[in-house]
Amino acid sequence: MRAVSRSRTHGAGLRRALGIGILSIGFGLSALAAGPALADGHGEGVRGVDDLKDLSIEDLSNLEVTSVSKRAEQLSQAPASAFVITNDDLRRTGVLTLPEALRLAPNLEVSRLDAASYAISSRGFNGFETSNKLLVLIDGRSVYTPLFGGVFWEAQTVPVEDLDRIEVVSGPGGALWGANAFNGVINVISRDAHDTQGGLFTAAAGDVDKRAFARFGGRFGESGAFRVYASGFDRGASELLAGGAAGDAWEGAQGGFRADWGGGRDRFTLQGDLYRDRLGTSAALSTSGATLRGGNLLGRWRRELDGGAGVEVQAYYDKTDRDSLVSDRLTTWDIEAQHTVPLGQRHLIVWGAGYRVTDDEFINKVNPFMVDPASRTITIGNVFAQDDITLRDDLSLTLGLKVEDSSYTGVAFMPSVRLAWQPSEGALWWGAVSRAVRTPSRIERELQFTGIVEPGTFDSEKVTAFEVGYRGRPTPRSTFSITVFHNLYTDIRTNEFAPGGVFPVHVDNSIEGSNTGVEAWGAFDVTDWWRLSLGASALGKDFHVRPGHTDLAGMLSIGNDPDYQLFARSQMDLGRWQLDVRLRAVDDLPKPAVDGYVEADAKLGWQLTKDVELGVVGQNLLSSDRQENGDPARALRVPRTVYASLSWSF
Amino acid sequence: MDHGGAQLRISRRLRGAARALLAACAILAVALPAAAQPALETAVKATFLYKFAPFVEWPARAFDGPGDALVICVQGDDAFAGVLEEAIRGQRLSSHPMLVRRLARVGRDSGCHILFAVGSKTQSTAEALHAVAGLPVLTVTDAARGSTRGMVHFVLRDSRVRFMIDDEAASRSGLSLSSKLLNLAIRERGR
Repeated sequence: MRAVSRSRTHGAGLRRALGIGILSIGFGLSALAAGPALADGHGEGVRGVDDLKDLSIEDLSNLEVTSVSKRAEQLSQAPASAFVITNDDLRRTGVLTLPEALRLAPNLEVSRLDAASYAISSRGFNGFETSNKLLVLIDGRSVYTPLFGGVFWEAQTVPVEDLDRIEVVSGPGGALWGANAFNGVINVISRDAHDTQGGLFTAAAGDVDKRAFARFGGRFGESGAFRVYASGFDRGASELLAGGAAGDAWEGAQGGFRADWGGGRDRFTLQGDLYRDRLGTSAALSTSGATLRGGNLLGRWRRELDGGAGVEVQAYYDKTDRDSLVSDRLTTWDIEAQHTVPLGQRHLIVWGAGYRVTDDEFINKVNPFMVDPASRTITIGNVFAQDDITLRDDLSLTLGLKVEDSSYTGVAFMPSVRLAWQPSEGALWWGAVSRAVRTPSRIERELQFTGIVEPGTFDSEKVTAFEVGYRGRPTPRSTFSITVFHNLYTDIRTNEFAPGGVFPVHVDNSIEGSNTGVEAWGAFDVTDWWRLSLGASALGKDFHVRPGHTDLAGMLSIGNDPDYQLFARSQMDLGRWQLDVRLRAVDDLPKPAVDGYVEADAKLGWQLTKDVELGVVGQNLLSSDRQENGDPARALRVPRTVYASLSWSF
Repeated sequence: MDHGGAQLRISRRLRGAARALLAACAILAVALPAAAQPALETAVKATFLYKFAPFVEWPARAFDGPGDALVICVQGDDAFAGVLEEAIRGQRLSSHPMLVRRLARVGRDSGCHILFAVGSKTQSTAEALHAVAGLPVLTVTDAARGSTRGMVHFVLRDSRVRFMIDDEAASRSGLSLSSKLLNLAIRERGR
């Protein structure tokens, strides 16, 4: 029997966290020292008044203006640790998939498992089986699976070309987003159909990655717009560390549409996708290949009411099947409504309710581990309310509460209190205390193997998070954001013997402890054609098993996380050329041990004509025999890849 | 497996690299001259100012003759920083060339056809609008600079520069606005 164990001493982690914090503050101060205030920093691309001369007054009204200051303005109202990946970022870096795009966020840990799968988490708990603490939404549609609480990233082949932005918010978002917004929320938002008019064809081809995408957008009716798209991709197999192909090749296709219309006070959206992918052999859930297929349909209605109020209703249907020797089929129906209403001069109330039905079927043809019953329908109802109180011109308090009632696990309360202080236009200080809950997934509650594993005993995990942050524009040409957090966790998952140390094993909630860390990032316009961005995150963990209990999994559920991560990115506009270079340095992973690494990605783009862009993209350029995760069943190398890209608008 | 020594080396090297990178940024930031490009939002607003002209009908008395310039006045704390001058280079409204006049304080005899007022310590936006009340001057204000509204008021909506129009104020001053311009304007929300 193992004695009560502690994770690696948190002292070293905290020292590193402080070190990163000091470096980040140093960056912020150097930006401050950079000289007198100048006119606004550079906007997207290189558009000046010369380019706008020929636009009609309608085109001007439709032109999206984003700049450092605009981004800061939008985010400056949000008292949370939020990093935004824009459409421009996606194009400049040449990323082809959502997980590779998420590598841009300094407040996320992204770990590649094989050619198709990734483990992504925020503020710790990363690992294939343990990264279940993140809520991921694609246009408001939740994509985490109730089977194990994580995300099958390989089934989320969103077309990155038509994404408007990806918001990565770290920290519990339970009060607004519900259970499973435990350590963070990733909000993937696609562009309005009005902004994707005309045709776009992109292609990428390289030694490992191949992809083609085509989209056509048009108008209908008086003011409606639509688009349809189709994409196909193929990623070659990884190499085993020991040599030889791993057979985990991944290919598939996805297509879909989006339509936006409405006039006056009403706006409507209807969108849907269909996909079918094939995974090769992998030592993951499937042992001999898997077919993923699914589709979804989502509708949204927004209405502006008098006095700055508004109502929004959204409903969707989502079906996702994963078929192999171990199969999972999930169908979701969801409807939610939200009402925003200013009350008096000082209150802005957002309140709403939602109802979701998920029908999950899990079939294991490989071994006797199963969930009982194989098929289960779970219904979740929730109500939430949030009050944004303007205490003073520069001080606001946000109180939020969500109450969720699941047919599976009962009632959960998720409150949150946030205070935001804006002493000047360019600076926001904020603090928050929040509580969130992660409800059990089916595997945790229902996995059984007669005599060996006994189901039905796992409760929700809980977190209370304390955060303090600053976000602002120290100079007109720079932005800086830093957050310090301390999370207290209770009831984290363990696997334990029955009393007396005998079989059967059951899943219990006997780990408790805390996380402390820093997340910081900033961007600086060195010149009007060169932007430099830096990011850093550090994490110290302190967990233990409650006295009297023993975790057979050896505290696996606290995840396998690096103590720190560093990011640097350089974006240059050189006439018709754009050069984007990214560096990331990730510390070692403790258990299973994986070496830390420094890696580089780059894209060189050439704007051949107004409508055609050619590019060359390189990923993981610095080494070709690196392992990114410690899963002994997937001892794979992350390959160095290079591909050429083409983008043609017509 | 003992990676202890290698880990420590990598960690030290990374920290050293990170510090060097930050120091380099700081040096570059101070040393390199900054030729700032105006933000796209500013460029769009400056472009709107002269593109409004064809949609406005001024009374005959507003111009001395067909060659008389169309004057765009900019009042208040430095708005546009030279972008407007660059934007109107070579632009004309039929026979009238365009020029920009910058004023700290606008009065009845400032000779403006279009006035973009952002306010300053010398003269607030409201005072500037009051000074040209009743004259055939198209007054333009910016929500980002204050809540006082002129005949045209720039607002940011869905990341786009849009504008609100007060048609009544325009006709009271003898100006006639084309319906095309009115259709592009954002409808007023209930107050």
